[in-house]
Amino acid sequence: MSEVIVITSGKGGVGKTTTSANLGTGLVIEGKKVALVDTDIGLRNLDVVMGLENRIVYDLVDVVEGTCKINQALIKDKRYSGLYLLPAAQTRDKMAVSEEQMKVVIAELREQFDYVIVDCPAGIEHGFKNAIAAADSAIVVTIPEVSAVRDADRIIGLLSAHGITEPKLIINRIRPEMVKRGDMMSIEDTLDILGIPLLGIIPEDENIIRSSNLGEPIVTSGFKAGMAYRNIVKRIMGQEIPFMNIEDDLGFFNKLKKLFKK
Amino acid sequence: MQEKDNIIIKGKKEGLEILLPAKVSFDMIFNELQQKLEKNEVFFEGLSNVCISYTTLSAQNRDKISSLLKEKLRTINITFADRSKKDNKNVSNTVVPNKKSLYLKETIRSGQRVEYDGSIIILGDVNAGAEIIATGDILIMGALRGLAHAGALGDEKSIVTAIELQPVQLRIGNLIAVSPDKSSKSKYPEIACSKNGTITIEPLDK
Repeated sequence: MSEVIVITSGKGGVGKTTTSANLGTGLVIEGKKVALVDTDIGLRNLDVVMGLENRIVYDLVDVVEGTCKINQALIKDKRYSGLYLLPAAQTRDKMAVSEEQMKVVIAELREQFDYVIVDCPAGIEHGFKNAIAAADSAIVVTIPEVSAVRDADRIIGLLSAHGITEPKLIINRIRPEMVKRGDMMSIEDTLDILGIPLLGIIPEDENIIRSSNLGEPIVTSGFKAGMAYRNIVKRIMGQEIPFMNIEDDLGFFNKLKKLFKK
Repeated sequence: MQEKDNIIIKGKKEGLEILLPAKVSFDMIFNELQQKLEKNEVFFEGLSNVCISYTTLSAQNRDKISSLLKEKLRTINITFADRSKKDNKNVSNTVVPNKKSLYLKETIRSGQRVEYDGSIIILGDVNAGAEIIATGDILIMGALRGLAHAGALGDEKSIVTAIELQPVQLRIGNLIAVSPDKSSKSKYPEIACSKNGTITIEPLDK
């Protein structure tokens, strides 16, 4: 049984694309066959984060318009076999694809892959509707900021209106030391407002920016954020993995502080 | 002591109806009522609507019954209906039924708007960015973080209540209250109502 998961957030810049790239790569490492679909037509990024930009010949719009077969547009990942990317068109806009067309494309991918990860554009307009049109389940990504949580709440409402009733939550870019100081919303605060199950927490990590720029998903690395993504991948596959203790970081900082005090 | 049941107590949708017998002395009625209430105190306590149906009852005896009910049951609405009068069909209707209401068992999220001509009851949270508009009262069995407008057609007797009352903005009738910039989490259920032309918030159990 293949599963179509849409990665969405409402607000931009909270880490949808990064999450899509890392979860896709992580699932492949676990031995699954995965297709990543970038639905952010006109503002495509997933190919860059995956480091596959230079290999694009055909894209999602070409598939929809019948210019090419779907397998011609799918780009094979350069590192992992079993990982494919269906890129978005850059020179078109969201209206180039309809919900019905999207359903046809996803149905085709469903036959070939274990997981289809759909990277959703920011916003709640046509692009969002396209992205969720054929999804079985959704992962909502947010950061612990009031505005992002507000948008996530809106998205959860819209998802449920479209029949995706129980999305899972990823809280990205959490900074334990700020939470401790009371300057950042805590995980509990966020869950209290959104009221959906938590799939994972990703600590703020500079290495993510570095790895995105290099086109190498962090999930393959030993960094803390990479570990967090690997845990999420296992949870998606149905394993029970305890949540990472992000306070560990704090311990490290405190140790460092103590070191300097001496 | 007479064991015979002279008083009939009926449970109705609107509340309790107590039928007093016609040809029995008031003292006997009063005693029996007292006994019955004491016997079933736990069961009857807190019932807000009680209708007394009678054939002959002096004003003095009415007061006696009223104070007994208030003492035993803490009843709020007591109505008296004279059965001997012709239109005794309305006896059970002497308790004015509430306006219709809408019950929702879900969380209302940002961007969602609930409008209803009547009262709205929500079992769930109302998140920031959501709007609840009712011509009657608004009851939230959860946290109210969005906007609530009770008495939307101008009824300032309407109320808003929530387990966690922390709305961005509250409106009752034509009154508007804005949440303080630094709001602390309420630790108990609260009720908002209009008093002297402003919206006041106080603990629900007050």
